[in-house]
Amino acid sequence: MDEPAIVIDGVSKSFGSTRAVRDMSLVVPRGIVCGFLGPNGAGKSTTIRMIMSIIYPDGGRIAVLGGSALSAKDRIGYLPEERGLYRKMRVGDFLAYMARLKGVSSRGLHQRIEAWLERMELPGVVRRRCSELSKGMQQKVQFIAALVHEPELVILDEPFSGLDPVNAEVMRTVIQEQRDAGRTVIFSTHIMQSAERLCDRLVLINRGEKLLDATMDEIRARFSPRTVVADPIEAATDAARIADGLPGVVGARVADDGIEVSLAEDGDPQVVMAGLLKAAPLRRVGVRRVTLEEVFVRLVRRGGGEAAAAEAERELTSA
Amino acid sequence: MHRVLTVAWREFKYTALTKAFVFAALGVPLLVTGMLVLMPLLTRSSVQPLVGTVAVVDPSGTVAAAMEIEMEPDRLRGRVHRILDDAARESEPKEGVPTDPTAGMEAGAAAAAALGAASTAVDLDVERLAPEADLEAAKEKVRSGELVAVAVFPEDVVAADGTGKRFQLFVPPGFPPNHSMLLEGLLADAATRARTTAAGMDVDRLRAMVQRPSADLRRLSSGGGEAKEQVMAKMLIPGAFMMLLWMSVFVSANYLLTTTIEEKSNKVMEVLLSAVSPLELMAGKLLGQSMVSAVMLLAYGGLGLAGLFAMASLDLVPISHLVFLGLYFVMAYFMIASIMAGVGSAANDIHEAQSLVTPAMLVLMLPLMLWFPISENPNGMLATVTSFIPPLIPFVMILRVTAANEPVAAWQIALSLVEGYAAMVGMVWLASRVFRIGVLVQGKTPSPRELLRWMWYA
Repeated sequence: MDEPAIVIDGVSKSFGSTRAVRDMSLVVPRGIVCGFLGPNGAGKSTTIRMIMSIIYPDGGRIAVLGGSALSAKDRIGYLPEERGLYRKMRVGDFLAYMARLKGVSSRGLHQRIEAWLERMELPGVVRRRCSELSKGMQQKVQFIAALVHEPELVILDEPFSGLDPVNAEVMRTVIQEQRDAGRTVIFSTHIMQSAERLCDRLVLINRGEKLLDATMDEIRARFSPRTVVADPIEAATDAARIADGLPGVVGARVADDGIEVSLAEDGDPQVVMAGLLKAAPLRRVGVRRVTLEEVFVRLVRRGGGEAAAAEAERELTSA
Repeated sequence: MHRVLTVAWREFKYTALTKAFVFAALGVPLLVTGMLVLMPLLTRSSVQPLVGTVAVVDPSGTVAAAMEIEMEPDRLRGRVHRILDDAARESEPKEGVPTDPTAGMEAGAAAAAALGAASTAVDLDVERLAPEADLEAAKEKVRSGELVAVAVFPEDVVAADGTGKRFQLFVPPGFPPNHSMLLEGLLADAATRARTTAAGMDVDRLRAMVQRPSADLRRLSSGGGEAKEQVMAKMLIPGAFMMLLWMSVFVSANYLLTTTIEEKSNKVMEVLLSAVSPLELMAGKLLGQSMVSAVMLLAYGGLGLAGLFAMASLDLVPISHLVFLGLYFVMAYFMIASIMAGVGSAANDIHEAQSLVTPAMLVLMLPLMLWFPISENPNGMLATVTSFIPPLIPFVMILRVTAANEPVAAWQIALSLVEGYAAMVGMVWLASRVFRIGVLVQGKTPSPRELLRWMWYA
């Protein structure tokens, strides 16, 4: 069980003259939720399809659950980016068909499907044809098809796209349950809030290259801006002037929602916040947290490589 | 293997166990058969009795007497039986002339109608009208039902040179067509009888003399024996076997094409490929549709055999024909289905598929064109050469083995089986090469050159 869920080692893939994935290497440990983030055309889906052995890399090596995805199909659940169902099949028959293909015995299968439909808030659709369902319902049925055989590894390509907030929340909860049950979940997404909330580890991909591969804590620590924000009750200009005189502060400016105080490399945020509280009445004060979206945008704009990541880090921390 | 069987069962279930398939593939032939049985019964049940008086205007004074002879009860019964005999003769094939199956059906219906007429009361007598009688008054009596009909013969009806060829016959508004035909024939025969009697000849004897004798056609075999020549067996049976093979294979291969395209266009393909390999998917689909094809073969073939059994002609289809049908069916199905699976995987929609499959279809239409030449000469050069061209092998061979008067050489059968099955395996392998790439290609139709590249370098 100590063996990683996925090992990708120097993998490349081209389609004609387009290099979809370039020398990608990463390791996804077991029992975590790992997010693949990247703009459209970054190579996320190509990477996922190679992990699934639906397409094959031009070079490099991929190990899934200790072998090839082909030999471990029954232990993997997959939701592709392009959703598809047999339109004329009934929901229950479709899920039973997918479960049978994944090696689930027919004994108790019907109850298992009913339970999943209840869990995904799709009661009473088991006898309905797939074509009769809304797009969101179809997406949830496909999500169930990826999980109904209780796989060790779940790979979801853009699972939240097109879902309303209520259904997205249901899906997020189920993903967390999968992680809590010890399963490994990998998903690609554009929705940063989902990634931020769900992921233990993040892989940022752009133009076929891995830009960043770290845990959320590591990302927060690395890209945390050295900025204190405060919302004074009285005039913000006075507060900015006061902040400018505090030790470890290199500058302060008035922003839309209060003041932003930039700290020196050795500046202590606790000291600055205490100084601000003592000097002026405040509605709130705190250390500004970097959002994943900010990290993502900066990194993507900078391009690939560790140098770009370092530059983005400098930009964000000095903001 | 369980994945292949799971795919196969879904493919079979969602093709063959649907209302549309059951109706189209099984319901229609049953409906046609039912109609063929029911039509004569309905006709028979609607036949009305033909009883009453036929008035005749006969200036020659000879036809009315002849009519009385033709209307004698024994002769009326004989007339009905003659119609039955004619119908039976119509359904027999003429030597050297391909039989039109519909002629037999029409004759059968006529016979059944005549049988209905025979079982209904037919009792007619004659009322002579003077040449100057009021014809309009007589017609009124026909309209009112007082008379069955009025016939008006010309004076020269008995002329030996046959100038008096036409007579008039007036029947009531609701007169059934089969009564018209019966009466028309009866009056024409009465006129002939009057004409021959006037010439001093016996019409019954003449009729017997002009009856054509039939041949007991027997074909000598080179081994020294002889057997009754069965024209129907030699012309119809091979065509029926070939059509049965062609239809059952093409219908299910076409289903394979459309379901593969549907899986691509529905985007369900990638979900499937996360559970099965492309080869497993194709194998399952081929297997599932082979069961669909087998169901059609059994349904239509069984119906044909049941028909032959009903006509006590089951001996026209020896067991060996059925064994060959089974062997060549498997070969034909997997050859054609592999082409369709390959094309279906490469195409994005049915229109693209049609353009890709047209060249193959042109080749596969050849067996239909070869039916008559090969049935005529099953061991000739054309038949022998086409027996070894792979996509044609099963169709040509089933024509040959069921049509040949002399057995097809055993080496040719053996070679066709070995070559055909080897070609079948090769075609399935090439199709699998196309399939594994084609199922993942979206939005672009591959050129024939690309398809070849997929086959060789995939």
